[in-house]
Amino acid sequence: MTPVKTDKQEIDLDVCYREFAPRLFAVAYRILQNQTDALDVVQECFLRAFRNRKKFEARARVSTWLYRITVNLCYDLLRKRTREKKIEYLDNYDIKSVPFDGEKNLQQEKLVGQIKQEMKKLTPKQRTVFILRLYEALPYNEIARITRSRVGTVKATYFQSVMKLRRLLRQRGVLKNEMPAG
Amino acid sequence: MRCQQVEQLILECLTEGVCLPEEIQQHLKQCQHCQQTLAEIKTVVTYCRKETLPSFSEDFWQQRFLSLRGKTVSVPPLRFILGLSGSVAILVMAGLIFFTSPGFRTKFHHETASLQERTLLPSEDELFQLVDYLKEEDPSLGLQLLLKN
Ligand SMILES: [Zn+2]
Repeated sequence: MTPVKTDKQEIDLDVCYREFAPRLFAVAYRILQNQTDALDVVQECFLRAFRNRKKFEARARVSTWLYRITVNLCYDLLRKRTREKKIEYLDNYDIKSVPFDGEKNLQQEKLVGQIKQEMKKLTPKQRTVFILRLYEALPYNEIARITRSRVGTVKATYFQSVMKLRRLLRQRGVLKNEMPAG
Repeated sequence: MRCQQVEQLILECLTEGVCLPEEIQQHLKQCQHCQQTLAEIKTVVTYCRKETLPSFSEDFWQQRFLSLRGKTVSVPPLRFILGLSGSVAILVMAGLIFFTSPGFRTKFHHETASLQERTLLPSEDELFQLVDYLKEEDPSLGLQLLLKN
C-alpha cells in the first residue's frame, strides 16, 4: 500500500477507503459498541488522514496509521461519554448476536452475550489490545505501534485482558461447566 | 516449564489457531491447573469470535466514500477563502475607521497647522540678522525691536 499522495489523492483515498473502512469500522464498533458512532469515527479518521497526509509520507504502513487515528478517536469519544456522564451501558445499543438454531444454540447465544457484557469491564486500553489481537489478528509489534506502547507491554495487556475476562465469567458462573471435574 | 509460561503459550496458540506444542501437551498431562486454563481460555476465545458485526453492502461504503470525498475537496479551499476574505475585510474596516475618525482629523489638522506656523516664524539667527540690518539703517528702531523680542 502506497501512502496517500497529493498528486494521486483521489485514487489513493479511494483504495484506502475500500480496503480499510470496513476494518476500521469493526474496530471502532467493538470499542464503542455503537454503530452510528463507529461509522462517524471511520469518516473522521479518513478526513484526518487526508488532511494530514503530508505528515505521513515517512511512515511505513498506512494501516498502522489509520488504526491509530481510529483508536484515538474512539478514546476521545469514550472520554466525552464519560464527561457527559453518558456511559450508556450498551444494553440500549444495537448489538446483534449470531443467529443460532436450536436449544443448544440458545445457550451459546446467551454465552456470547454474557462475554460481551463482561468485555465492557475491560479498560479502553485492554479492550483495544484485545480487539486488535483477537479480531484483527494483528501482530504484537503493529499493535505496539498503534497504541504507542512496547511490545512486551502489549503482550502483557493482551494476556491480562483475557485473564480478566476469564475471571469475570467465572464470577458470573458462566465458566463453571467448562471446568474439569476435580 | 512454569504454569504462567504455559498459560501464555496456550493463549498464543489459541489466538493464532495453531496446535499446542509437544512441550505444552506434556505439561498439560500432569497439570490440572493448566488443563482448566486451557478449557476456559478456549471458551473465552471461541465465544468472543462468535460475535457478529453489523454488515454493510459495497454500495453503502461507496456512498460513504463519495460523501467523504466531497468534504476533502471543498473544505480546505473554503477555509482558505474565508480566512483570506475575512482578513481583507478587517483591514479595510480598520483603515476606514482610522482615517475617518474625528480624532484623526483633528490631530491631522493640528499637526499641519503647527508645522506651517513653525515654518513661518523666523529663527533666532534670522532675528539677529534683521536687528543688525535695522540698526544700520535706524539705530533707534533696531534697539526697540531688540527689546521687544
Ligand atoms: Zn501448569
